[in-house]
Amino acid sequence: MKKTAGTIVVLMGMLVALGAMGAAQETGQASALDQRLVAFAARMRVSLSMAAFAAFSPSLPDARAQADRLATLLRGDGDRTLGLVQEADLLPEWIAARVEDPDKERALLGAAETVRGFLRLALSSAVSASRARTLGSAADDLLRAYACLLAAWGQPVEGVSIPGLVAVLRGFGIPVAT
Amino acid sequence: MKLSFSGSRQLALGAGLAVVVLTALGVALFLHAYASLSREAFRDRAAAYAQAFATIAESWLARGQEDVAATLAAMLVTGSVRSVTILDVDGALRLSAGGASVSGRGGSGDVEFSDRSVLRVEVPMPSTGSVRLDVDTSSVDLVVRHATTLAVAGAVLFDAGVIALLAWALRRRRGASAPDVLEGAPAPSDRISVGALEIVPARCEARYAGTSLGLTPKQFAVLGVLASKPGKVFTEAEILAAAWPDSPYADARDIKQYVYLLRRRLAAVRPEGRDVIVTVPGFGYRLDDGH
Repeated sequence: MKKTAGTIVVLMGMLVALGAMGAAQETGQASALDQRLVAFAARMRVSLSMAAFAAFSPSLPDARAQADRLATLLRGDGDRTLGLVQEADLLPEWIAARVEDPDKERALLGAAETVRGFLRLALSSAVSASRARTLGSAADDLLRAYACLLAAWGQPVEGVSIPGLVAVLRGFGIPVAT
Repeated sequence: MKLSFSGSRQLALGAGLAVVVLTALGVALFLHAYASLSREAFRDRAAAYAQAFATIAESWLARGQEDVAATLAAMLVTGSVRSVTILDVDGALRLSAGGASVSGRGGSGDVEFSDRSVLRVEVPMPSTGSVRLDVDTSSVDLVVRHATTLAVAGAVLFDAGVIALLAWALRRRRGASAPDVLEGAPAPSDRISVGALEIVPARCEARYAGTSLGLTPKQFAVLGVLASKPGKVFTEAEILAAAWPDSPYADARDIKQYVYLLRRRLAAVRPEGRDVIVTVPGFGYRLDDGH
């Protein structure tokens, strides 16, 4: 278990670095907040990828191990690394520091609230999957976690969406690949 | 059709043996089917797992983010997955995790067991290259082993139950067919001799002058009652209580019927001479030595 947690911490560290590099590439002279937001978005994408293939795990131990990793990504690893859920709690702070227009700020705070809510639901589903007793229920929980992460991401489909992280990224002027 | 006790015992033995053999066959067939289906289902899920990963990995590779694809591949190596390999369209190694070997290359969509415990799954990525997973099948083998233990234990319990039931039925039948003797009568294992009539309760055998009478269980029971105290007059109530202990509907007519049948059997082996079974009008029946 300790080895798994250690591996996840290393992988998460790599992802943060990757996100920061991506941010530097994508936004050039972006602010530190922008970089953190881009790194956050990169980890969200990785979590989405993880949840997507974890739902197809061939056996219950696989599904539980993947769910455990997903939960660690979302919840963090104690004091060493922040999870996505804890970082999402910082979104309002970042928005307040970065956005000056009150109307825009209000809209982005709403989107940040959506991100926080759906990430918590995703964490709850991942934890539930990590304790599942059958492969079917673990797969259902992982699909639910994937759906919640997707909703937190908030990519519009046919122009319709609940504003999520995509809205926050756009609000910060960070380009988002469709 | 009525069966003798030994015939019933043989029938019970045969039935017991048949139940054991059929149960063993059923369990073997069930386990074979269960193991095949479990392995097949696991193989399908492993292929779906690999396909899902291939689609996701390709999307990261298409964006030029090979590092993320490599991180995801490393995350895939847990539980059953021993190694992940992403191959280029020409079969060259693009990236790997979990100590994957890249010697040789299977066709697209291949699923094979490279040894008894490792399943190799190779699926094409939607536009280029392929993903290969080496998956440990020990978890499905463990499930099959547990199912085997449960099925065998269930079969043994079932067989034991059936055999116990047959033994109980046999014992009950033997108890019903052996002559019931009145209190103070000789023990069943003893040999009773009344003149030329000889009764061996333990062997359910009655002979007259060495010739077997070939009695049915109930005839034997009635004769056994009378022979338990030769010369004593048994009332109908006493005979009914001893020979029909579990039949509240038996009455004097049954006794008359069986005494008649017994007399016929005895007459067949000793055509001359007095009746061995003597009717004492108003009182009952007694057994004489026939001289």
